[in-house]
Amino acid sequence: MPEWKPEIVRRLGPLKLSPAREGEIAEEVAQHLEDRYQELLVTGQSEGAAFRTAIDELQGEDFLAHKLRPVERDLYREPVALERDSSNFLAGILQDVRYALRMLRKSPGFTAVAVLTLALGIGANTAIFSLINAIILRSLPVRDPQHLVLFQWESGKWPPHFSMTGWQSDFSFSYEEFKEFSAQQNVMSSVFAFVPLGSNDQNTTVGINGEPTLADGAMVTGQYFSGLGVTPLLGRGITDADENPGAPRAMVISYVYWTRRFARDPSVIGKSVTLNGIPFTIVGVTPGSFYGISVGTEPDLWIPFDDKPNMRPWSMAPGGTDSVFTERDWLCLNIMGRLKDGVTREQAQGAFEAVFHQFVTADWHPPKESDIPHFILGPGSQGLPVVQDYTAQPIYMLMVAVGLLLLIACANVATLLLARANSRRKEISVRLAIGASRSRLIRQLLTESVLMSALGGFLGLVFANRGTPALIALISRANNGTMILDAGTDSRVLFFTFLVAMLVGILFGLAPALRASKANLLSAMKDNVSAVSDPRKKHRPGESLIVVQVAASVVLMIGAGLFVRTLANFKSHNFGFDQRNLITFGLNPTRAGYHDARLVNLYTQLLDRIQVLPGVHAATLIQNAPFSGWSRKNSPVSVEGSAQTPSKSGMYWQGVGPDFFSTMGIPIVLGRGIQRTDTAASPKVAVVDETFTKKYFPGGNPVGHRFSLSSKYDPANSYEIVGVVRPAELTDVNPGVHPKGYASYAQFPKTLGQMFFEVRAEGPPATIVSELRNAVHQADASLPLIALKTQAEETGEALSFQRLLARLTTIFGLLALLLAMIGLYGTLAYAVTRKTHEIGIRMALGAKPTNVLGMVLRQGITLTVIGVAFGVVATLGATRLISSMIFGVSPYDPLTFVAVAAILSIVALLACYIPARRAMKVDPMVALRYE
Amino acid sequence: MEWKRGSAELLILSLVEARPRHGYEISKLIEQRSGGTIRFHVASLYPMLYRLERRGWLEGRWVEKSGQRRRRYYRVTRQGRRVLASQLRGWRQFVAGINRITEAENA
Repeated sequence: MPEWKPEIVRRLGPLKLSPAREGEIAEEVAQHLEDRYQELLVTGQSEGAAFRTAIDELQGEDFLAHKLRPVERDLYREPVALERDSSNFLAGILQDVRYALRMLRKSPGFTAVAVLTLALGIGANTAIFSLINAIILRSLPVRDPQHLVLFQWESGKWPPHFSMTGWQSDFSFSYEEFKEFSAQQNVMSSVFAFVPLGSNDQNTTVGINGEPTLADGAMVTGQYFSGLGVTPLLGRGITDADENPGAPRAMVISYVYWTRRFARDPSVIGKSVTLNGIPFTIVGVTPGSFYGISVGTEPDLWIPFDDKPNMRPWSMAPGGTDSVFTERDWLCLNIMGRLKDGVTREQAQGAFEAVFHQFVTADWHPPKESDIPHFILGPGSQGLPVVQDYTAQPIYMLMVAVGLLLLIACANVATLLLARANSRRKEISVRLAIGASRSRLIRQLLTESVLMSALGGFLGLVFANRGTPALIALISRANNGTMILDAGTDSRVLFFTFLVAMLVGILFGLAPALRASKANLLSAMKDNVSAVSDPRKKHRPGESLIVVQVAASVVLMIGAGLFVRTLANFKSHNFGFDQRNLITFGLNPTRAGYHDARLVNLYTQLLDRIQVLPGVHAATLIQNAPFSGWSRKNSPVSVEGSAQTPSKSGMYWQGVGPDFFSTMGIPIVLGRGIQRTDTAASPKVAVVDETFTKKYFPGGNPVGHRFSLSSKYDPANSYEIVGVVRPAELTDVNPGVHPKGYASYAQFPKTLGQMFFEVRAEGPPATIVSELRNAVHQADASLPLIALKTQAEETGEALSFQRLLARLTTIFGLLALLLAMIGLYGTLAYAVTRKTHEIGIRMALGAKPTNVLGMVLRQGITLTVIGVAFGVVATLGATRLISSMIFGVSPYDPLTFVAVAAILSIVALLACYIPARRAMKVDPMVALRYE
Repeated sequence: MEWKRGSAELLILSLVEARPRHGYEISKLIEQRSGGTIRFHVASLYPMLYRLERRGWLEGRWVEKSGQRRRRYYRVTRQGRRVLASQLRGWRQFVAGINRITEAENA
């Protein structure tokens, strides 16, 4: 038979067609010439004459190219494979993109599934990264945040007390220290201090048009707004002049507060309001983007720094008659500053170190030189870290979870691509055989996968834009509704999404591209691949991907299982007190001018009034509402006559009212509880819990003994233990084992401030709400009720965080399971299709349908079992990282592990069943003809 | 020249309207049904087929039947059918016009 193709290819040469196109034309024209040749032979022509006549159909050397040129010009043209001209690179990329778009359009179903899978994975990652960006990475929305610095100090073991924040690496200083820092004008253009007016977001009472409302206020020094570089939206900020004694009291309000309370009325400037009974004038409104100096929190208002009985930092007095302005070891202020131009942080650090060292030595009286804390001038571009501390670990855990989800999504799409590459192996083999370079082919295949993941990334960004606000709302609820975050899409988030999409496209596209580009022409041109699969043949990459997906799903599902069980454990946990029909609300009469004995009397009278209300079974007082997250923690504890070294970890200490333990349902095991007779005029007493007893009086009876809250036993400030109670967790839902002590609120008139009423109703708590309000109103109409809610609601809110984790990890776990099972189903379905010929042979040779069913199921279950095994091993290593976030369940809990393995196996069995049934139904006759 | 090229497209479209055909079959049918007066060489036929395919009037597909080498079959598309109908109308009008003129002259 004559060789027509060389003749044709030579004539096509000038067109510089892609090898694929050239091959196609050559094949078609060659077939035509062969038909013509055969026809001529039949008519009696010799082979030579017939060949010449057939070749004449090509009309010379140039005619074919001449006729084809205008037609082929506009078709896809791939640069000639062996060409290495780099000037074609960009043109080559653009052509790859156009070709990739065509290939994706050709199989819309496949593209849709792949893009959606990727969008889920990338979108989840973008949402979590948006959170990280907002909480940890983003700078303060102020002028030149990189020039801001944050004052802090760090100590190993000393000092053991004072700081309001209670942290070891601390951000709190005294006012005197602030004044000395402010004097360092050679390195700083401004130094300013700020401090909240209380310990929660309803820490002040603001009277607007005579009506008392609650707000979150902060005190600032004169250079706060100018130092930060915040230009008010309306009016002005606080200035140094506002701090002068006798200056008119100025208040700046936030944009959100202005919207909420004043409906954005521009005439708010100059308006008179009261703050804790003191008249103020609103002088400015901050811009909408400004949230203060701590992300996640946003004060409603700012006032100049001051120290009045009803208006002081943290609503707490230093003790005795000391003033915040002069008490040198009352660390209540946070300090920031702006560096002068040209001054570095290191240079400024040196200037302040000496000042701090001198101050501490003179006023804190460190026991030894090595105990002196170390001063740090840290970067202030992100302000004061508050929420970062307790959100960092959960957020990083979520990042790992969505990372696993993305891994599963990538593996899933890689499996789809492997299957698709297989169906294109003929095309790829021809191109390789004709001369396309492997690298060129790989580049083209990678362009398709990168394009797919770019589309997935775009869609994922849309998902994230919807999902992130919902996530923030969930987190905010878990933080008592006080977290305010702007997690919008900025350039950093966009870049992250773009980077993830590119990496993902290369990650899941590379293996299929490498594999596809190795296609062998000979085997590819045959339609039926190996008649029977060789069991010794090495394990296909598609199967490895299934194992990866199953393993990753196991990790996510076990994590979800542990968090779900944690939530259930918290809900059923006995916190040591009776929460039924309990309602709680707070008052802070210090803001209305109540102090000392007058304050004690108010509380006592109100308590008496409430206890006799209809529907009230019992009532008492407590310093901090259970699970509000706050309690006093004083350390150390020194027991009289004990040789034990004073414990630095101290105890949890609460001021409570009479009948506290009976009202709260906490059993008294020895002695008595706090009584009405425990007043300022009677000796100081305390009730401790059994944990305290075990620690300080092991095996003994502490009743009658004395202790003080100091590093050395101080008889003048000691307490007599009058009773022992069962341990009760009143601070945090995640209890630790800490000694606890209770004292009578009436015995501390000087430092008394906000208190919470705990009222047990005869029936549902909602029935007594209006009467409680009336009782308070009758006592003093200017006192707003703080955080009025049932104890069940308070506990529920305290569990919001655990609920959030359980919900999110369950969603991720279920998504992972769904993706993995889709991947498993797809892989098996495709394997069945590829093996139809083999199955036909087996059945023709006597295999029963049930044998075939078993063969497919075995393959699926084997992959699942291997995946589960890897997943369990990986989880065993990983779960100890979340051990601090789970409760009542071991990170290696066998029940959770077994349940997840069982669920996965059952779902996998279902995923395998459909392709297995299809395999069973293969007609051997059809299968043997199948090509 | 335009007339001739346009008529070639008309011929090809009308031949594949009934059923899909490959290139050699199309060229043989044209030669046979025209009594040998119209012949398309390979170098003319295939560029024309590719042009019609690019316009979307034809759709080509490789088909492999058992025992044979694969061939490329062409079938007319919906758009091709519309073009064919329009061209046939135009052709008939043209022929009718020619006939009216020549019959009048020879009448």
